[in-house]
Amino acid sequence: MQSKGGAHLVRRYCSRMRRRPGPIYRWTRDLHLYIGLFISPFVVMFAISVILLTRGRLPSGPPPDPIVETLTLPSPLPALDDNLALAGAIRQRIGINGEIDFITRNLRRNTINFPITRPGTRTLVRVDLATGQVRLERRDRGAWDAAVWLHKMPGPHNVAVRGNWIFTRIWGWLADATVALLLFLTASGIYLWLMLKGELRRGALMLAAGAISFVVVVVMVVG
Amino acid sequence: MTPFPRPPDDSRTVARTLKVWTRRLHFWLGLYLLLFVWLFAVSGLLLNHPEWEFTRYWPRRQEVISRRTIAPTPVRGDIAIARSLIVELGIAGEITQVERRPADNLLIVQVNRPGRIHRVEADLVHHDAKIVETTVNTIGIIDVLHKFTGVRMDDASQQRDWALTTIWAIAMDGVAIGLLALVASGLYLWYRLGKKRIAGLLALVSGTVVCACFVFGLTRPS
Repeated sequence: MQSKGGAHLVRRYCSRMRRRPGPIYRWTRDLHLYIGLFISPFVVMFAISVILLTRGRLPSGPPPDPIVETLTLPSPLPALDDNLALAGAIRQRIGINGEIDFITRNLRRNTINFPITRPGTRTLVRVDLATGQVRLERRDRGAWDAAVWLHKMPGPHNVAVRGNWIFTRIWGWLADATVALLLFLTASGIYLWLMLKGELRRGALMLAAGAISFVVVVVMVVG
Repeated sequence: MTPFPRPPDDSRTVARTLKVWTRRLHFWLGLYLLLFVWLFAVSGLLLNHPEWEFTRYWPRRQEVISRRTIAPTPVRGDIAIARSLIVELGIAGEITQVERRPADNLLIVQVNRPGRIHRVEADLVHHDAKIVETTVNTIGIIDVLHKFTGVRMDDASQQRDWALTTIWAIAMDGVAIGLLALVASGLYLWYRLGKKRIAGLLALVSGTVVCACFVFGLTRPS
């Protein structure tokens, strides 16, 4: 009885709104439009990177050979026990911006190795802390790789050091915002569909077909 | 509030018909993909926030260890043996690791599917297998569904070998293509809204500039 009453109220509200659009409808419609337009480049970027990730390769082919460069640190490093702080100090001295990833420090050999990644570029940094000698191996992979990098960032791995580059943090906020706005678009889309006269049945059929496909494929895969 | 007009029988203009069907496509596609979009959006959010306590499913995993006698296999090659082994043991999923450990006469096979990992340590000389079955909670299942492609960018040798991984990868591609179609149809519908073109253009350009800064602007090394 309760659900019947609820459905009745929804139908009555939708019917009244169809006859005379109120501010809620107009605001929802406009926000759906403008937010959809704002996040559409992000959705395109995420969608294209999905297609690349499900293929496991980039259109640009396998990674190129690295460009190798050696240099000496311009100024001595402070004595730091914290690996991220030390890697950050090296990053600043060699002038390469990007996210420091997995850090490997060998205290016996007095070396530290870590990649610095950024959209489309990955530089492996190997430093001999005793001599200040640095070996850089840089791979530039372009915009396809950039899209994949952004799709995976900030991601679940390497939590202890993740977000050590300002742009990774900003991208993390943008990725969260994209999710939140996408969820808003789905909710507002449902509302706008309910307001459409004559589309309830066909829309409900599509919703049901999608839900059935989803449940079937998830149950099959999860088992 | 304007109901979808039926496509005019007399087809007054192609543009009008195109608008009607684009609008329908936008609605129908959005409704069809709704649950998929929710799954990938929410799982993406969870993946980006490993610091949230409830997203840490791995420490809460459950493991069951069992032993089974295995039959001698006539096939040759580690991959072929691994496939025959998981069929014999009734394990279904994507083979993600096959490793020979000659010192112990062991063949290690790991088989994954969302929510469940089987690690088989098969002693092919004594026809004995140790099976470790790890199960994770719903958050773990959602997490794996987001990433379950069966291939890796950094390992070209990793290929899909389970039919359901292929089906899931096709579903992921389908959702991605569907989202691209939603964007394209949305852009067309906005373009047809004459009076909202300027404000819409501002929203679109700001989104494009911000996104392009990351995709193209940060690519160049400093």
